Amino acid sequence: MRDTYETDQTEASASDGAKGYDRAALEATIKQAEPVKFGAADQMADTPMHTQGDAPDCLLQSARMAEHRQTGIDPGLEAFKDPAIEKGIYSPDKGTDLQSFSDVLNERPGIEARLDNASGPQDIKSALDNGDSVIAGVDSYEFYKDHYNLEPNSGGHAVVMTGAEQAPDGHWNFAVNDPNLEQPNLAVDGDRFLPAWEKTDRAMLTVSGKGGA
Amino acid sequence: MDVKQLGEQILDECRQQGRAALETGISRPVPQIVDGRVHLAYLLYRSQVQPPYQKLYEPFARVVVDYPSGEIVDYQPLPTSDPVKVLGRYPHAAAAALPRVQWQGAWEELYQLYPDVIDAFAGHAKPGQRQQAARFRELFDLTMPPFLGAYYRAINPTFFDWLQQASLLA
Repeated sequence: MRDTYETDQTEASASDGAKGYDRAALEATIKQAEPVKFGAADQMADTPMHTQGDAPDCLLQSARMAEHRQTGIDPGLEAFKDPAIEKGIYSPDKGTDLQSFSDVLNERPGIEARLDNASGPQDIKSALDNGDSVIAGVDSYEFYKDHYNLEPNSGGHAVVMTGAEQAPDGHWNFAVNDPNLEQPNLAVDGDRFLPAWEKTDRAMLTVSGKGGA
Repeated sequence: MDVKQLGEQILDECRQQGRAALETGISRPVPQIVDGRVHLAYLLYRSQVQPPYQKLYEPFARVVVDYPSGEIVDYQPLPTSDPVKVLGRYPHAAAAALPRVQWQGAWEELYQLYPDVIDAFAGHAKPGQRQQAARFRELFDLTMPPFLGAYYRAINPTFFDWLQQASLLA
């Protein structure tokens, strides 16, 4: 992946050999990684993957993944994008208003959704154990900062939680479908996920199938 | 006051008020003196991580905050292209060259220097001001991608002129 912009000639490019800043190499490394499944068998590791492109639609694609998992039918991106634009909740220039987005989800025929500020990771595990899909809001800088040199106070990001477990020593491990990356069920250590989630006041969008998933 | 936390708080408030989206990022602040009071001005812009990069777009709003109360005193939408234009992406060359720990340390040090630099800009000179201003300027330049320079300067050119002078004066 290579982008050229008019005004950023001094930035690192994908072809200048800057270690760790090659998108193709990153994707190749991720594809070699084994998907992981954490937690009980009824957690959500079979959630279909839908990735985002350049558009700020991580939340829309996350909603698409959640509905696809809950109903077995891919609703397509426009099922969320069109009403969100109409309601002023999504703009291709700015992104999505997380606070209002559950309104769009609750207009979908097969699902219902609720936005909460969770009390802690146990809430994620309980929802997954219950067969619900969980979309978590994370701070992008905190979520990616140990892998790339980014700018703090960045925008947020949405990921679909596909697994959660707590080890006997209390440590949490998670698995996510990150719309930024093609590989599903990526393992995310609690030390990485929890501070990034905390920065969004533990934003948690729970998506359930109507009449049972 | 923790200037880094203040930025997070302002961004959160803007999101709650529907003035910022999930993907909105907030700049570091630029101080300004208005009727004897210190204000901090921020830019809001789409800041989207697309590993291994982070794309930054044209700022769409300026938010001004009373310091140190943290109260938003002004919000001004800014004109943008249609569609909004990508200005560039992190990491710029200087950022990519630094080891990760050093990069994160540069940001921490920058934010730690903010209160003293704001105080000095407000006219409260202290011993060691020149060294602090010089280090602040060095870190600000290091962490700022070149394509955002004109946007920061436009917020308050007086601050950047002062910073240059303050870091040179013996």
